[in-house]
Amino acid sequence: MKNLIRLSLIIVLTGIVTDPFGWLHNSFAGGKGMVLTQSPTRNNQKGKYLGPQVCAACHTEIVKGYLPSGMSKALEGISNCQILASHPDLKYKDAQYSYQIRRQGNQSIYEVTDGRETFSTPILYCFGQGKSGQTYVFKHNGSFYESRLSFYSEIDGLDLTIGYAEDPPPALIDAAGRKLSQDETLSCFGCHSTGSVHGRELDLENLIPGVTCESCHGPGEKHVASFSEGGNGNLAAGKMESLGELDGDDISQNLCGKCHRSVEDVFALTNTNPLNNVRFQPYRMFKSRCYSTDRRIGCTACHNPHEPTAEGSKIYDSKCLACHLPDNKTAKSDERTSPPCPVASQDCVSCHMPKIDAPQAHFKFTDHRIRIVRNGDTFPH
Amino acid sequence: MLATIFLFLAALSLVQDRETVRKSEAHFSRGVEFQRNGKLDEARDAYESALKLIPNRIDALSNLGVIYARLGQYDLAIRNYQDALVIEPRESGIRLNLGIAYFQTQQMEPARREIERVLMDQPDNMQARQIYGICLYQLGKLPDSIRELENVHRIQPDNIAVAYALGNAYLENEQLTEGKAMIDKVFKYLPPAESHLILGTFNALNRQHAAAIEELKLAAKLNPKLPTVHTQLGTIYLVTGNRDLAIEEFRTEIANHPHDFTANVRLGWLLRENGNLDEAEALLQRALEYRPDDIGALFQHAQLIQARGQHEQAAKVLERIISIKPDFTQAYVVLTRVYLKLKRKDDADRLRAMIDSLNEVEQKKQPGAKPFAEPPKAIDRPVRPPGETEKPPQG
Repeated sequence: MKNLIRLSLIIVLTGIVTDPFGWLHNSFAGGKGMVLTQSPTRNNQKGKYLGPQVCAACHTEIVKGYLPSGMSKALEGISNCQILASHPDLKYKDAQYSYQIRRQGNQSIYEVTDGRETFSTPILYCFGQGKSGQTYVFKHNGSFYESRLSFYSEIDGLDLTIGYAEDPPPALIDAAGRKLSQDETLSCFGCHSTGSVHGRELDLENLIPGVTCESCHGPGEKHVASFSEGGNGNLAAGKMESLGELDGDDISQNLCGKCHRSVEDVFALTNTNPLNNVRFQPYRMFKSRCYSTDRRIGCTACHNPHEPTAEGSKIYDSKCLACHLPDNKTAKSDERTSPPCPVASQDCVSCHMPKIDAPQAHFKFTDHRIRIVRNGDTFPH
Repeated sequence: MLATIFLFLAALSLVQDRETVRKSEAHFSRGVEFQRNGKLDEARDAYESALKLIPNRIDALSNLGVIYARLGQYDLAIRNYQDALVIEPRESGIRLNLGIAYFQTQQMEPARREIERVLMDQPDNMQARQIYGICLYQLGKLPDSIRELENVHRIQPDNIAVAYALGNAYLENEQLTEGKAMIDKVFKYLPPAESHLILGTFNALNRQHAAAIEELKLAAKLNPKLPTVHTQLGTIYLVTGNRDLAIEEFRTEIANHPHDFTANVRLGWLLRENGNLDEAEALLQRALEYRPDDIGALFQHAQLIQARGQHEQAAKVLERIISIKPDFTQAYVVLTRVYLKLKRKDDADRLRAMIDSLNEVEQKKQPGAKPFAEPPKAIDRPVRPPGETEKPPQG
């Protein structure tokens, strides 16, 4: 490596222009395939977001069904943070550092001390619904920081945020958290809230907490205007993003994958713990043998995006049987051509989509790489 | 009668030959003019036109090689120099250019070989000797390298590149005092802008991004048109997650140096991801004109075509990428998705198996992989007694 650096410098010195950053070519993917008009993470249309309450005026039942879902609670402002309100004094100790998150009225104060100095700051945002965990974001010197500690429901307390090294950092501020780059900040807010990212700008004043209707369907301003009294009646101009024409692959990788990590995203990561990949469902789906552009294998085939995620394994059986024959007596049809399971005809996911304990996550994630799992099998990356 | 026809045809052929030579000469002269004025694309086209008419013009082959080298298309430069040398193997100037092209593409052994031949004819050619010394250094032949570089340094004490290479050679040869003195001298004599560029580059290569930005900004302030300075700044902004600033820097570099390959590719990449496909396409096309086989540019272009929904064309580009670089996992991933769109499920499955094996190799290289690469903890699969299967539901 040193030789390479020297050569680059020598080449620059000899006046021969070269690219000393050749290593960047290794992370060239990152991109998405199909460009949707509406990005679930960015508002590129410069329309105004109105919030689910406005949508509910007409789409009452859908909004009512959606609001209890995890995605709608993907971000909470500190005053509404249910976990911190119900856990007013959280503590954690790591080597020389003592951590505390204490509730003060509608605020929560994040405090880290090494015994000599103390870093103390109000938490601004709570990322994650808390089903598995919740991570906190605060501001320091004008930049957003991600807390080094997260709350985990399984242990009902704090532990290191996923991905953080266990070795305690030498500096107090690093023990408090990690400074988010501009891209990371936009990604975090883009995925956990609605209408907060316009192109490359962060608009926290108009942030709608959580992933709501307009995250996927686009800003509703023109849509509502076209229906409202005095509107121009131009329904075409107010048409929301049509997602019904997307194929299964587009849904999984270009829509849901924008936040849940598409296969391209995961391959662009340069240092990911293999087992942690279980958290990236679109990537895992892509690796399933039955993955295709068929909508019956896209995310929305099993998960109704307008409802909380269905719990239990039996409920998904009908989804598998949309393609697979229930037994070898049933004749194939145009829709159902995949072979029946020789072992069982129910609880499919309990065998074919096992729960995996991801490192540091304190949560068992359903592995979306659909496969035949045998006892003792290694986790396929 | 026959003799008359023969004479007529011979005369006609002579006239045509003269016409061909005249036209070729006109193209060549235009090429030279364009080259003098820095219009590289136009010069390239003119030389190629000249060569179409007379393929063995050594002057056009040589100049075309120079143009390709300046455009960063070293493979084509090398090919043209080689073609010229087949016609006239004793042409040392062309051989020196061939050696430099090898050197620029970091092919040190062929570079050394060609430059050595140049030095046999022109032992006092200091440019050749300088590159020869650096090649020897890169090839690990330290005493030979030091001897060569010392000779050049004696004659050209202000040649910073030689001083820098010699300093490093001393250090590697454990002549620490001489090495340190030489490196100090480099920074003493380097023009300020270049000096900051070098320091910035060095910091960037060592991932010291804040320090690199500081140095490069100083370089840009002292000489706003210093080649590569804005590209390097843009790249650091890109890797540290500030795409807006990266876009700004790449745009500045392209405004100053439209042929900067890296700036074209990276700006094309960022604009593609922002959904600005038309502008991205123009930049990537330009980059691919300069380096048609560059994997990064081709991959960006393939994804752009895919984003336009042109899956057949995207498949062709991606297949080409894989044929050039068979271990490029990300290209397999995108191609798999393209095959699925094209309903080529068998091809997609074949690629997916390849991705798995490539992925496995890659994962093992990752620093974080080791502790978790062991057999997994128990997978929650319901255990049934051996041989027992659940009966399918009746009816």
